[in-house]
Amino acid sequence: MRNNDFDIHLLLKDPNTLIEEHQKTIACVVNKFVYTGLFSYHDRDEVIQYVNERLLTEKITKMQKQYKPQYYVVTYLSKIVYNLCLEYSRKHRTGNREDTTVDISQTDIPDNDDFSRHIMIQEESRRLDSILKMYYKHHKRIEVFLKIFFGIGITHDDLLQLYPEADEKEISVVLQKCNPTSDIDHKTDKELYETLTQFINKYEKKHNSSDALRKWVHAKMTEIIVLLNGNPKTANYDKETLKILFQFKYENLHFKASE
Amino acid sequence: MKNDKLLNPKGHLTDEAVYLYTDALKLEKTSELPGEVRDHVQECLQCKVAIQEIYDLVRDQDYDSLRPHPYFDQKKIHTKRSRSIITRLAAAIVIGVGLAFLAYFYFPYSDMPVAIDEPIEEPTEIIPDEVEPAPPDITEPEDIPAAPQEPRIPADLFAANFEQSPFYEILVDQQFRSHAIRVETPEIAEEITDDIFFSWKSRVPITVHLQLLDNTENVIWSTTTDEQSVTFSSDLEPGIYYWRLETDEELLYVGKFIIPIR
Repeated sequence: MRNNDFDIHLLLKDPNTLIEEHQKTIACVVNKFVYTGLFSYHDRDEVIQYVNERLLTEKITKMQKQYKPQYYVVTYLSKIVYNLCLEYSRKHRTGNREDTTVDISQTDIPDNDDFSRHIMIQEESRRLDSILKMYYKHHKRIEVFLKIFFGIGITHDDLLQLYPEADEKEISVVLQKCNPTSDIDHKTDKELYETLTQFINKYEKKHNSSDALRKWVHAKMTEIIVLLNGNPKTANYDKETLKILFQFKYENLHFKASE
Repeated sequence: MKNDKLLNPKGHLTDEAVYLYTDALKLEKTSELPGEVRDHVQECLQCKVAIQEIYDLVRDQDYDSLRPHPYFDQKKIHTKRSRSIITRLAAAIVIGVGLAFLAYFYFPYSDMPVAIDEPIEEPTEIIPDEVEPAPPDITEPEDIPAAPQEPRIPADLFAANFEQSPFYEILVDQQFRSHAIRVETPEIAEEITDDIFFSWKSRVPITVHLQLLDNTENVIWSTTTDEQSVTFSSDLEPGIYYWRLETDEELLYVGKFIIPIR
């Protein structure tokens, strides 16, 4: 079975075979660009050919010198292939990204194709997961706050995960005030932030204002949108579509076409 | 991996650290990353973007057969080894102290200096930093981790004015609220040789703050308006400029334009 040690061996001793063995990796990266619209499907084979040539004639020697055995060869190779795709695009001036960016609220998937919609939402949901993980200590906190502000609602366990020492009575108050009820529309953001700030300040022994919390949540929301949209931009998220993605992810909402 | 190789002189992740972080996401081992890498990424949008870029490429690739990982799996072996060395050292110290005791009681008048009289320095306990850093605000560029100032290219060449701001490049042309506003002018990276006419359309009346920034993220002009256009007519040096529109509540839009060398 091919493992990373074997990849390192091939990179150093037999780079041509490494490239041959990794045709699937190369195709996978090129396909991403086809999916996001940098290349048309008809260009795909030509781009793969270009990447292979550039790897064999120049890049692989640099890779041999620059690779440090601290990460997987395949991760490194994927990034090199990514750069070569951008190089090809610059040289051939390909791409019409604006028409192909992902927008989960407006897709070209036919209304009756629930399977494709489901796959797309799952993909985006996985991307959201990886983004949230990068917030590490703030991960759970961001998840909980955004669930509240998107009106999805939180559970007793959500709050306990944030503050295991939290008092049951106070948890009940937060759940009652922050979870969607029939009168959720009447609750202002100000009320929500005030309830949460009081709760957080107690368990974090801080004196933050609800305004500081509001700014922090908005800042994180904006960051997540930027990350989901990618650089260069391959999707069209904004606060409303982020809310939809959260609803799909945490409420298992079913996609309702044409709504 | 030495930690000085994980962060570059500007305090951001090196390419190697970005690859390592990507592997950690794939293998669900972010908790095993070096603390300073985790802490930096947690606060730095620029590095998150770099990681996400590669993670998007490898997300669908099968990593199951690739083990052992050169960092995460090796690290465990190193930890065991170092523990074993520490155990041996501790045993040696205990034996040494025991022998010193014996020497003290059995040979009290010996000329040999006795180590037991010396205060023993307690090993410093490393306590993980439990205090979370203050939440940064993406709407304020000052929150990007401080980087040592690099010598600038002489201003008379204007070259330094054309260096992009990595922070604002990420934000440019993002629409954070759908339908909140639609920016009409200037276009992204438009070259402007005359007055700068900022204009946008919003469905509802909205008070916005407009800030004009140079490429080093210094605010050089700002205004607040209820209108849907503003003209800026002072002379600007050639270079890249960014502008942001925001309400009291949130950031709405970040644009970019260029003043060419005349």
